[in-house]
Amino acid sequence: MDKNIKILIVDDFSTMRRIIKNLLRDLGFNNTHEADDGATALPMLEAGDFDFVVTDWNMPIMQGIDLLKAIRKSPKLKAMPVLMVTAEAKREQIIEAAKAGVNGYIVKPFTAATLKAKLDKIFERFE
Amino acid sequence: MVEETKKILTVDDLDEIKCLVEAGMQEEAVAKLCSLSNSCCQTKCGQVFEQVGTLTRDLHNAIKAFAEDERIQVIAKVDMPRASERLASIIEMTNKAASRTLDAVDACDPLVKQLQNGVDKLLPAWNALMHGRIDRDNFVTLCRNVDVLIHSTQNNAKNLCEELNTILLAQDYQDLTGQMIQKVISLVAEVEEKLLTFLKNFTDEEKSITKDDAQQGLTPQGPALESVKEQTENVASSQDEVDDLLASLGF
Repeated sequence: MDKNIKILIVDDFSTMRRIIKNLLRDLGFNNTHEADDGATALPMLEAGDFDFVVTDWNMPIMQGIDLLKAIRKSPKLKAMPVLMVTAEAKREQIIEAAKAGVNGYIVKPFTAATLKAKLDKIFERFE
Repeated sequence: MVEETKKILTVDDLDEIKCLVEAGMQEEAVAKLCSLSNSCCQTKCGQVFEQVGTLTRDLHNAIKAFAEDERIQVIAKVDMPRASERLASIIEMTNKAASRTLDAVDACDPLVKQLQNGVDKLLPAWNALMHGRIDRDNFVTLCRNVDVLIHSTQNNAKNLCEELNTILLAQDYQDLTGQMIQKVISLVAEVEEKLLTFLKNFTDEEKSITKDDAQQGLTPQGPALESVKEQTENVASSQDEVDDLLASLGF
Protein backbone atom coordinates (compact mmCIF):
# COMPACT_ATOMS: atom_id res chain seq x y z
CA MET A 1 0.00 0.00 0.00
CA ASP A 2 1.32 3.44 -0.95
CA LYS A 3 1.70 5.37 2.30
CA ASN A 4 2.20 8.67 0.52
CA ILE A 5 -1.37 8.88 -0.73
CA LYS A 6 -3.01 12.27 -0.13
CA ILE A 7 -5.89 11.96 2.34
CA LEU A 8 -8.61 14.49 3.20
CA ILE A 9 -10.16 14.24 6.69
CA VAL A 10 -13.59 15.89 6.89
CA ASP A 11 -15.15 16.48 10.33
CA ASP A 12 -16.61 19.56 11.99
CA PHE A 13 -14.94 18.75 15.33
CA SER A 14 -11.23 19.54 15.35
CA THR A 15 -10.67 16.96 18.09
CA MET A 16 -11.98 14.15 15.90
CA ARG A 17 -9.89 15.40 12.95
CA ARG A 18 -6.79 15.31 15.15
CA ILE A 19 -7.58 11.82 16.44
CA ILE A 20 -8.03 10.47 12.91
CA LYS A 21 -4.92 12.34 11.73
CA ASN A 22 -2.85 10.84 14.58
CA LEU A 23 -4.18 7.33 13.97
CA LEU A 24 -3.41 7.63 10.25
CA ARG A 25 0.08 8.92 11.10
CA ASP A 26 0.64 5.88 13.33
CA LEU A 27 -0.35 3.71 10.37
CA GLY A 28 2.27 5.51 8.28
CA PHE A 29 0.03 7.94 6.37
CA ASN A 30 1.57 11.37 6.78
CA ASN A 31 0.07 13.21 3.80
CA THR A 32 -3.20 14.21 5.48
CA HIS A 33 -5.25 17.38 5.07
CA GLU A 34 -8.35 18.65 6.87
CA ALA A 35 -11.73 20.22 6.06
CA ASP A 36 -14.50 21.09 8.52
CA ASP A 37 -17.54 20.21 6.40
CA GLY A 38 -18.61 18.96 2.98
CA ALA A 39 -18.91 22.45 1.49
CA THR A 40 -15.25 23.17 2.33
CA ALA A 41 -14.12 19.70 1.33
CA LEU A 42 -15.66 19.52 -2.13
CA PRO A 43 -13.73 22.43 -3.72
CA MET A 44 -10.52 21.12 -2.09
CA LEU A 45 -11.13 17.72 -3.66
CA GLU A 46 -11.99 19.22 -7.07
CA ALA A 47 -8.87 21.38 -6.99
CA GLY A 48 -6.39 18.98 -5.39
CA ASP A 49 -4.94 15.61 -6.23
CA PHE A 50 -6.47 13.73 -3.29
CA ASP A 51 -6.52 9.92 -3.29
CA PHE A 52 -8.81 9.17 -0.37
CA VAL A 53 -11.50 10.80 1.80
CA VAL A 54 -12.40 10.08 5.42
CA THR A 55 -15.64 11.89 6.31
CA ASP A 56 -18.07 12.36 9.17
CA TRP A 57 -21.83 12.33 8.42
CA ASN A 58 -23.35 14.96 10.70
CA MET A 59 -21.81 18.33 9.83
CA PRO A 60 -23.18 21.84 9.29
CA ILE A 61 -23.84 23.27 5.81
CA MET A 62 -22.99 20.15 3.77
CA GLN A 63 -23.30 16.75 5.41
CA GLY A 64 -21.05 13.79 4.75
CA ILE A 65 -23.72 11.82 2.87
CA ASP A 66 -24.22 14.77 0.50
CA LEU A 67 -20.46 15.09 0.06
CA LEU A 68 -20.35 11.39 -0.84
CA LYS A 69 -23.17 11.84 -3.39
CA ALA A 70 -21.42 14.92 -4.86
CA ILE A 71 -18.16 12.97 -5.17
CA ARG A 72 -19.92 10.10 -7.00
CA LYS A 73 -21.57 12.63 -9.34
CA SER A 74 -18.34 14.46 -10.18
CA PRO A 75 -16.64 13.12 -13.32
CA LYS A 76 -13.23 13.85 -11.79
CA LEU A 77 -13.87 12.40 -8.32
CA LYS A 78 -16.38 9.59 -8.89
CA ALA A 79 -13.85 6.76 -8.42
CA MET A 80 -12.36 8.14 -5.21
CA PRO A 81 -12.59 5.79 -2.20
CA VAL A 82 -14.62 7.28 0.66
CA LEU A 83 -14.59 6.02 4.25
CA MET A 84 -17.36 7.23 6.51
CA VAL A 85 -16.53 7.61 10.22
CA THR A 86 -19.69 8.64 12.04
CA ALA A 87 -21.84 8.33 15.13
CA GLU A 88 -24.89 7.72 12.89
CA ALA A 89 -25.84 4.06 13.28
CA LYS A 90 -29.42 3.69 12.03
CA ARG A 91 -29.91 0.87 9.58
CA GLU A 92 -31.48 3.10 6.93
CA GLN A 93 -28.55 5.49 7.20
CA ILE A 94 -26.01 2.72 6.69
CA ILE A 95 -28.06 1.41 3.75
CA GLU A 96 -28.31 4.94 2.33
CA ALA A 97 -24.52 5.35 2.53
CA ALA A 98 -24.03 1.97 0.88
CA LYS A 99 -26.43 2.93 -1.91
CA ALA A 100 -24.59 6.22 -2.38
CA GLY A 101 -21.39 4.24 -2.93
CA VAL A 102 -19.48 4.43 0.34
CA ASN A 103 -16.37 2.22 0.50
CA GLY A 104 -16.30 1.70 4.27
CA TYR A 105 -18.46 2.61 7.26
CA ILE A 106 -17.10 3.00 10.80
CA VAL A 107 -19.31 3.91 13.77
CA LYS A 108 -17.90 6.15 16.49
CA PRO A 109 -16.50 5.50 18.99
CA PHE A 110 -14.02 3.34 17.11
CA THR A 111 -10.60 1.81 17.70
CA ALA A 112 -7.29 2.12 15.86
CA ALA A 113 -7.65 -1.57 14.91
CA THR A 114 -11.05 -0.93 13.25
CA LEU A 115 -9.64 1.97 11.25
CA LYS A 116 -6.69 -0.13 10.10
CA ALA A 117 -8.94 -3.07 9.14
CA LYS A 118 -11.24 -0.87 7.04
CA LEU A 119 -8.33 0.90 5.33
CA ASP A 120 -6.72 -2.45 4.48
CA LYS A 121 -10.00 -3.70 3.05
CA ILE A 122 -10.55 -0.59 0.94
CA PHE A 123 -7.04 -0.51 -0.49
CA GLU A 124 -7.02 -4.24 -1.11
CA ARG A 125 -9.86 -3.59 -3.52
CA PHE A 126 -8.23 -0.64 -5.20
CA GLU A 127 -4.88 -2.27 -5.77
CA MET B 1 -78.58 11.28 27.14
CA VAL B 2 -80.87 8.49 25.98
CA GLU B 3 -83.23 9.26 28.90
CA GLU B 4 -83.58 12.92 27.88
CA THR B 5 -84.15 12.07 24.24
CA LYS B 6 -86.95 9.74 25.27
CA LYS B 7 -88.66 12.56 27.09
CA ILE B 8 -88.70 14.63 23.91
CA LEU B 9 -89.70 11.82 21.60
CA THR B 10 -92.54 9.59 22.84
CA VAL B 11 -94.61 6.78 21.31
CA ASP B 12 -97.63 9.04 21.65
CA ASP B 13 -95.98 11.64 19.44
CA LEU B 14 -95.24 9.05 16.77
CA ASP B 15 -98.78 7.63 17.01
CA GLU B 16 -100.14 11.12 16.52
CA ILE B 17 -98.06 11.62 13.37
CA LYS B 18 -99.13 8.19 12.15
CA CYS B 19 -102.78 9.08 12.68
CA LEU B 20 -102.35 12.42 10.89
CA VAL B 21 -100.67 10.72 7.89
CA GLU B 22 -103.37 8.03 7.78
CA ALA B 23 -106.04 10.73 7.91
CA GLY B 24 -104.37 12.37 4.89
CA MET B 25 -103.43 15.48 6.89
CA GLN B 26 -99.92 15.83 5.38
CA GLU B 27 -99.33 19.43 6.41
CA GLU B 28 -100.23 18.83 10.05
CA ALA B 29 -98.09 15.66 10.10
CA VAL B 30 -95.06 17.48 8.70
CA ALA B 31 -95.57 20.38 11.13
CA LYS B 32 -95.67 17.99 14.08
CA LEU B 33 -92.56 16.18 12.80
CA CYS B 34 -90.69 19.48 12.36
CA SER B 35 -91.54 20.71 15.84
CA LEU B 36 -90.37 17.38 17.31
CA SER B 37 -87.14 17.51 15.34
CA ASN B 38 -86.51 21.10 16.44
CA SER B 39 -86.81 20.33 20.09
CA CYS B 40 -84.53 17.32 19.62
CA CYS B 41 -81.90 19.52 17.96
CA GLN B 42 -82.10 22.15 20.64
CA THR B 43 -81.44 19.64 23.36
CA LYS B 44 -78.54 18.08 21.43
CA CYS B 45 -76.98 21.47 20.64
CA GLY B 46 -77.41 22.50 24.24
CA GLN B 47 -75.40 19.46 25.31
CA VAL B 48 -72.64 20.15 22.79
CA PHE B 49 -72.42 23.82 23.86
CA GLU B 50 -72.25 22.75 27.47
CA GLN B 51 -69.40 20.33 26.70
CA VAL B 52 -67.48 22.96 24.74
CA GLY B 53 -68.00 25.33 27.65
CA THR B 54 -66.63 22.84 30.17
CA LEU B 55 -63.64 22.09 27.96
CA THR B 56 -62.90 25.79 27.45
CA ARG B 57 -63.11 26.40 31.17
CA ASP B 58 -60.80 23.44 31.91
CA LEU B 59 -58.33 24.58 29.29
CA HIS B 60 -58.41 28.14 30.60
CA ASN B 61 -57.89 26.97 34.17
CA ALA B 62 -55.06 24.65 33.20
CA ILE B 63 -53.24 27.29 31.16
CA LYS B 64 -53.78 29.84 33.94
CA ALA B 65 -52.48 27.42 36.57
CA PHE B 66 -49.52 26.57 34.33
CA ALA B 67 -48.70 30.22 33.62
CA GLU B 68 -49.17 31.30 37.20
CA ASP B 69 -47.09 28.47 38.62
CA GLU B 70 -44.18 30.38 40.13
CA ARG B 71 -41.84 27.47 39.57
CA ILE B 72 -42.63 27.57 35.82
CA GLN B 73 -41.76 31.27 35.79
CA VAL B 74 -38.41 30.57 37.45
CA ILE B 75 -37.74 27.67 35.08
CA ALA B 76 -38.45 29.77 31.99
CA LYS B 77 -36.65 32.92 33.08
CA VAL B 78 -33.71 31.61 35.10
CA ASP B 79 -33.20 27.84 35.01
CA MET B 80 -33.55 27.32 31.25
CA PRO B 81 -31.06 30.06 30.24
CA ARG B 82 -28.67 28.72 32.90
CA ALA B 83 -29.05 25.20 31.55
CA SER B 84 -28.15 26.43 28.05
CA GLU B 85 -25.16 28.24 29.51
CA ARG B 86 -24.09 25.09 31.35
CA LEU B 87 -24.35 22.98 28.21
CA ALA B 88 -22.35 25.53 26.23
CA SER B 89 -19.62 25.56 28.83
CA ILE B 90 -19.59 21.74 28.87
CA ILE B 91 -18.81 21.81 25.14
CA GLU B 92 -16.04 24.31 25.81
CA MET B 93 -14.54 22.36 28.72
CA THR B 94 -14.57 19.02 26.91
CA ASN B 95 -13.07 20.70 23.87
CA LYS B 96 -10.25 22.19 25.96
CA ALA B 97 -9.61 18.89 27.72
CA ALA B 98 -9.42 17.05 24.40
CA SER B 99 -7.03 19.66 22.98
CA ARG B 100 -4.77 19.55 26.05
CA THR B 101 -4.68 15.76 25.89
CA LEU B 102 -3.97 15.69 22.16
CA ASP B 103 -1.26 18.36 22.54
CA ALA B 104 0.39 16.24 25.23
CA VAL B 105 0.17 13.10 23.07
CA ASP B 106 1.73 15.01 20.18
CA ALA B 107 4.53 16.17 22.50
CA CYS B 108 5.14 12.59 23.71
CA ASP B 109 5.38 11.16 20.22
CA PRO B 110 8.87 12.51 19.26
CA LEU B 111 10.23 11.62 22.73
CA VAL B 112 9.18 8.00 22.35
CA LYS B 113 10.45 7.88 18.76
CA GLN B 114 13.83 9.26 19.91
CA LEU B 115 14.07 6.52 22.52
CA GLN B 116 13.12 3.90 19.95
CA ASN B 117 15.65 5.15 17.40
CA GLY B 118 18.40 5.35 20.05
CA VAL B 119 17.84 1.74 21.10
CA ASP B 120 17.59 0.57 17.48
CA LYS B 121 20.95 2.22 16.74
CA LEU B 122 22.63 0.59 19.74
CA LEU B 123 21.27 -2.89 19.21
CA PRO B 124 23.76 -4.35 16.68
CA ALA B 125 26.81 -3.32 18.77
CA TRP B 126 25.03 -4.34 21.97
CA ASN B 127 24.19 -7.79 20.59
CA ALA B 128 27.79 -8.19 19.51
CA LEU B 129 28.90 -7.34 23.05
CA MET B 130 26.44 -9.81 24.59
CA HIS B 131 27.85 -12.55 22.36
CA GLY B 132 31.40 -11.53 23.27
CA ARG B 133 32.25 -10.61 19.71
CA ILE B 134 33.16 -6.94 19.94
CA ASP B 135 36.49 -5.29 19.31
CA ARG B 136 37.93 -2.46 21.37
CA ASP B 137 37.00 0.37 18.95
CA ASN B 138 33.40 -0.76 18.61
CA PHE B 139 33.22 -1.17 22.37
CA VAL B 140 34.37 2.41 22.90
CA THR B 141 31.83 3.67 20.33
CA LEU B 142 29.12 1.60 22.03
CA CYS B 143 29.97 3.12 25.41
CA ARG B 144 29.78 6.63 23.97
CA ASN B 145 26.40 5.89 22.31
CA VAL B 146 25.07 4.36 25.52
CA ASP B 147 26.20 7.47 27.36
CA VAL B 148 24.30 9.69 24.88
CA LEU B 149 21.20 7.51 25.16
CA ILE B 150 21.31 7.48 28.96
CA HIS B 151 21.46 11.23 29.18
CA SER B 152 18.87 11.94 26.52
CA THR B 153 16.57 9.30 28.03
CA GLN B 154 16.95 10.81 31.46
CA ASN B 155 15.79 14.13 30.06
CA ASN B 156 13.08 12.65 27.83
CA ALA B 157 11.71 10.54 30.69
CA LYS B 158 11.29 13.69 32.74
CA ASN B 159 9.44 15.37 29.85
CA LEU B 160 7.32 12.28 29.27
CA CYS B 161 6.31 12.30 32.93
CA GLU B 162 5.25 15.92 32.65
CA GLU B 163 3.17 15.26 29.54
CA LEU B 164 1.52 12.22 31.15
CA ASN B 165 0.73 14.38 34.14
CA THR B 166 -0.87 16.95 31.83
CA ILE B 167 -3.03 14.19 30.33
CA LEU B 168 -3.99 13.09 33.83
CA LEU B 169 -4.97 16.59 34.92
CA ALA B 170 -6.88 17.26 31.70
CA GLN B 171 -9.38 14.60 32.84
CA ASP B 172 -10.69 16.86 35.60
CA TYR B 173 -13.37 17.98 33.15
CA GLN B 174 -15.20 14.70 33.85
CA ASP B 175 -15.94 15.71 37.44
CA LEU B 176 -16.78 19.35 36.62
CA THR B 177 -18.97 18.70 33.58
CA GLY B 178 -20.58 15.76 35.41
CA GLN B 179 -21.86 18.11 38.10
CA MET B 180 -23.22 20.53 35.49
CA ILE B 181 -24.88 17.74 33.53
CA GLN B 182 -26.57 16.49 36.73
CA LYS B 183 -28.13 19.95 37.18
CA VAL B 184 -29.44 19.95 33.61
CA ILE B 185 -30.81 16.41 33.97
CA SER B 186 -32.80 17.31 37.09
CA LEU B 187 -34.21 20.40 35.34
CA VAL B 188 -35.23 18.35 32.30
CA ALA B 189 -36.91 15.80 34.60
CA GLU B 190 -38.84 18.57 36.38
CA VAL B 191 -40.03 20.17 33.12
CA GLU B 192 -40.99 16.73 31.82
CA GLU B 193 -43.12 16.10 34.88
CA LYS B 194 -44.87 19.46 34.62
CA LEU B 195 -45.59 19.01 30.93
CA LEU B 196 -46.98 15.52 31.54
CA THR B 197 -49.29 16.84 34.28
CA PHE B 198 -50.49 19.54 31.88
CA LEU B 199 -51.06 17.04 29.07
CA LYS B 200 -52.92 14.62 31.33
CA ASN B 201 -55.70 17.21 31.79
CA PHE B 202 -56.65 16.85 28.15
CA THR B 203 -56.04 13.27 27.20
CA ASP B 204 -58.13 10.35 28.41
CA GLU B 205 -55.41 7.85 27.85
CA GLU B 206 -51.76 8.33 27.13
CA LYS B 207 -51.17 8.12 23.44
CA SER B 208 -48.29 5.77 22.98
CA ILE B 209 -45.51 7.47 21.10
CA THR B 210 -42.89 5.12 19.79
CA LYS B 211 -39.34 6.35 20.18
CA ASP B 212 -39.04 6.16 16.43
CA ASP B 213 -41.71 8.84 15.94
CA ALA B 214 -39.23 11.32 17.27
CA GLN B 215 -36.45 10.36 14.87
CA GLN B 216 -37.67 9.64 11.41
CA GLY B 217 -35.70 9.00 8.30
CA LEU B 218 -32.15 9.98 7.59
CA THR B 219 -31.87 13.07 9.78
CA PRO B 220 -28.59 12.78 11.67
CA GLN B 221 -29.16 11.81 15.30
CA GLY B 222 -25.65 11.87 16.69
CA PRO B 223 -24.51 8.97 18.88
CA ALA B 224 -27.31 6.45 19.47
CA LEU B 225 -28.63 6.37 23.05
CA GLU B 226 -28.31 3.08 24.93
CA SER B 227 -32.08 3.09 25.59
CA VAL B 228 -32.75 3.48 21.86
CA LYS B 229 -30.30 0.69 20.99
CA GLU B 230 -32.07 -1.61 23.46
CA GLN B 231 -35.58 -0.83 22.26
CA THR B 232 -35.12 -0.92 18.55
CA GLU B 233 -33.41 -3.18 16.10
CA ASN B 234 -33.18 -0.23 13.78
CA VAL B 235 -29.89 0.98 15.22
CA ALA B 236 -26.61 -0.89 14.88
CA SER B 237 -25.17 -1.22 18.36
CA SER B 238 -21.64 -2.18 17.33
CA GLN B 239 -19.19 -2.10 14.45
CA ASP B 240 -19.84 -5.83 13.99
CA GLU B 241 -23.53 -5.16 13.33
CA VAL B 242 -22.61 -2.46 10.81
CA ASP B 243 -20.25 -4.90 9.10
CA ASP B 244 -22.92 -7.63 9.05
CA LEU B 245 -25.47 -5.25 7.53
CA LEU B 246 -23.02 -4.11 4.86
CA ALA B 247 -22.04 -7.72 4.17
CA SER B 248 -25.71 -8.58 3.65
CA LEU B 249 -25.81 -5.79 1.06
CA GLY B 250 -22.91 -7.36 -0.79
CA PHE B 251 -20.04 -5.35 0.69
